Amino acid sequence: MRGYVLRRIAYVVPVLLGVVTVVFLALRLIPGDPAVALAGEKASAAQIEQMREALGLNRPLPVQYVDFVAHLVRGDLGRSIRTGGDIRQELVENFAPTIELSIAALVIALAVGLPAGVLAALRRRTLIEYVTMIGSLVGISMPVFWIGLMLIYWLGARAEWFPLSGTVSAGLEIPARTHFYTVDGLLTGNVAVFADVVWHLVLPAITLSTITMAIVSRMARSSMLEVLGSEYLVTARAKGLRDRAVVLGHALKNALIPVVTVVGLQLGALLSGAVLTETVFGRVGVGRYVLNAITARDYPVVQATVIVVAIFVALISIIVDLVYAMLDPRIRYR
Amino acid sequence: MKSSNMTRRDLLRAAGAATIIAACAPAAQPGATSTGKAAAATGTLTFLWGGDTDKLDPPAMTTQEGFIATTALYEGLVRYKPNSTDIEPALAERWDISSDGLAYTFHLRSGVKFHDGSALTGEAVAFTFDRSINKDNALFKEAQSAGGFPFIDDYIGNVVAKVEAVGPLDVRFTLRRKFSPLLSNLAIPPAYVISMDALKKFGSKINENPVGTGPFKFVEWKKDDHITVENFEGYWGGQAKLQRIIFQPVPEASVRILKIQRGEGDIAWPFDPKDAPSVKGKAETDVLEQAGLNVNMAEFNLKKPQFQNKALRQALNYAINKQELADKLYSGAGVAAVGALPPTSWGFDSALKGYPYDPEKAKALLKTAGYTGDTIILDSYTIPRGYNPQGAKLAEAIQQYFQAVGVKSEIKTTEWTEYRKIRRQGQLNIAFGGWQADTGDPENFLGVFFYSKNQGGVNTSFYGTPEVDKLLEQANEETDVAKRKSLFNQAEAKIVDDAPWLFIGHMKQQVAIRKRVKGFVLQPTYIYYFNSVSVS
Repeated sequence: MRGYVLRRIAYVVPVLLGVVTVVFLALRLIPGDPAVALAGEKASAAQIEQMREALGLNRPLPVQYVDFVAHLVRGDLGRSIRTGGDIRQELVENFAPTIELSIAALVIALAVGLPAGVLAALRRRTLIEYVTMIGSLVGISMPVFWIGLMLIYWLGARAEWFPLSGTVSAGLEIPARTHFYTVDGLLTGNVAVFADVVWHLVLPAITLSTITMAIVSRMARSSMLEVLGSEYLVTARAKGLRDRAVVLGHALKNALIPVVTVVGLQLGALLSGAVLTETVFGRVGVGRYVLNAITARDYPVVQATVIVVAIFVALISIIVDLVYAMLDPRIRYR
Repeated sequence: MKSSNMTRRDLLRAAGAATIIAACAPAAQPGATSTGKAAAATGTLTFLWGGDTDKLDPPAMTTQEGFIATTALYEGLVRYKPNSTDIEPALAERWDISSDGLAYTFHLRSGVKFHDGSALTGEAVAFTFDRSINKDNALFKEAQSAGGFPFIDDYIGNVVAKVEAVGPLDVRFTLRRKFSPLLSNLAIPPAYVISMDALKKFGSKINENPVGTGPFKFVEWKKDDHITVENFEGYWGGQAKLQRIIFQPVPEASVRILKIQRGEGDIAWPFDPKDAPSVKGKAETDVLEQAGLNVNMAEFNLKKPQFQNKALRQALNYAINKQELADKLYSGAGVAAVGALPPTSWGFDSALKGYPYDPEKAKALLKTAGYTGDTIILDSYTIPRGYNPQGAKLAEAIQQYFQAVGVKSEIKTTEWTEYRKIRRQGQLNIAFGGWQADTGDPENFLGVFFYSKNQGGVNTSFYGTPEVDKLLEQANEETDVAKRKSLFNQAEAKIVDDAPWLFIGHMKQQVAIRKRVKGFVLQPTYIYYFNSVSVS
């Protein structure tokens, strides 16, 4: 088992090297010179040249590449051109709120999607199944930004149940300790501050959860249906187990395996969904951070973010594989 | 199974707690943490904009948001008068210009303190400018890896050889050549004066720790979330009325307007002009607007033989219905152009007629020009710009106007950064573009676009005539404002007649505001002063 994990982690290295190289080249080869972008619309030719020199963009590509990888290995991600800040620090500040939002979205997606899917499988051709399946179709087809805007309009502006945008109310100061707003809110010891953070989290989390929720419910339903038809369940019923024990004790655990795969993949998707959700709701997070960086051609930030996200996704896929082994005793890693 | 019951009960308990928490959440509203220290200053103003500023270091920032936020924190030697591009004293009480026009000596106000308690001196002013324009300065070098100081050279660095203290409260700018726009240029945010002590202490990190002399002092900047500034009791010019200002990015334009309607924000800028009716003239909200200090145009690439035909250029100018564009394409947020200068510039010539919409005249001129039906290429960028929020849709509209007078055209769009690059190389044809002025000086429109030495820089129509060059040079050397205006008017009249551009329009500056805000005045430069703003 340990050997397997170490091997899996070792495989991440060539993947990362590939990601690093592709990101490096892509940012330099796509049309649109960063120096022109950064110097602004009003810059003179001399200023653009000066900018190119200051950023080291006038050096040959291989030299830039070696320099870039050397800094990366030392954990030096450089400075953001847009904000002038230390990228490592800015990534920490922006990653935490996105992870927080993704977890909240995942919790909502599982809490609603899983029972809905299982129920739909158990109550075939009833209203429950139709509602679940139509609901999941809607959830998967609606653009995230549209759902976000509708929630803002109806539950925020019209009903006034939720704030319209932001991570916390303007004027509330939360000392940044962990950069997870809910945790930092709790650490203030002030219930109202924590509530304010949660209050701001609800609509974005629902928005971000919709696609995952739809996929989870469909997946849970189909894999549950498959398991319900299998012979060992007939055996379980035949030996007189109650329905509840058959479903929860025997069927559900096996039905969950494909769902775990989907959830693992969805964690990566949630990070990309965060770009739109964070922008619509004006939340702090890595999605909006990288979007701003792309718009400003802040290539050091784009590079660093893509690499960190790649590491993150690679780690998730390892964890997903390990969870398989926990759920299914037939799976053994050597 | 027992444990699962427990869990459910716990869940219910937690849900109950959540309801209670949600119920008290609305209590956590803006201003909840106001310290209320200064008795005279009250209330919090929330200013909403689309994106956060890139930086808060005056010479390093490149966004309008930064220009606005730093204006609460910092001041320059001079500033603009309310809703005007005229100059008035700020940190400098008065100034002398040497008879050869090459030395400007500023006499500073005494008793001015920075937020860190240090005093404003001639030395401190010289220190700020040496950092931003002297390429051998260690602090200048330090700033380069994060983008450097992109604007200051255009406005100050290229003409000012050195800045030195010549007395405890006196500072002298020595110029390389006569340059009368200097005074106006010193009012823009990149020329704000920074505390010398703070610069020595923080270096480039002054970006995250701004220390100026402005009416508000810095509290915190949570990037992409908010900037908070607080009343500075030691302000020399009479304490500001607000206790706090919070600048908050709200990326969705429609959400910004919803927030204004609901009272989650006091001022929103910018916003979609289509949303204006939902806040304009309402019980609680309103819209402030005026022509902006910008221009929206398309330029003829005069390097190409096809466009070296003046009658053709004039014909195409007559073919466009500028008023219709302002009303329809820009939903009433546009103003038709007669030339390059907007009506809010002090150099605007109200006698200038420009090219009123006249398709018949256009057709006649096309005949004179010998237009034979060849296809003209319209080069357009894709993204919305401040002076053209409709992006490439403008090109489609122009194409239709051309078609109506029998001119065939084809639209070619290019990604923005690449577009600017090839445009400067002279590869485009009729190329859309525009300008948002940084200073109130007409030089900031006419000089940058039509002075022959700026060809390939901002002058990408590659226009240049000895006559206009001479007028612009004279206008830059003359210090008398009335004489300068006359010189600019003569230059613009000649430029408009030569028609190197399709003169299209100017976008209005629009701000959505809650009526509880008093004393907020629009500025042509978008550099808003918060000194006398209050909330009721």
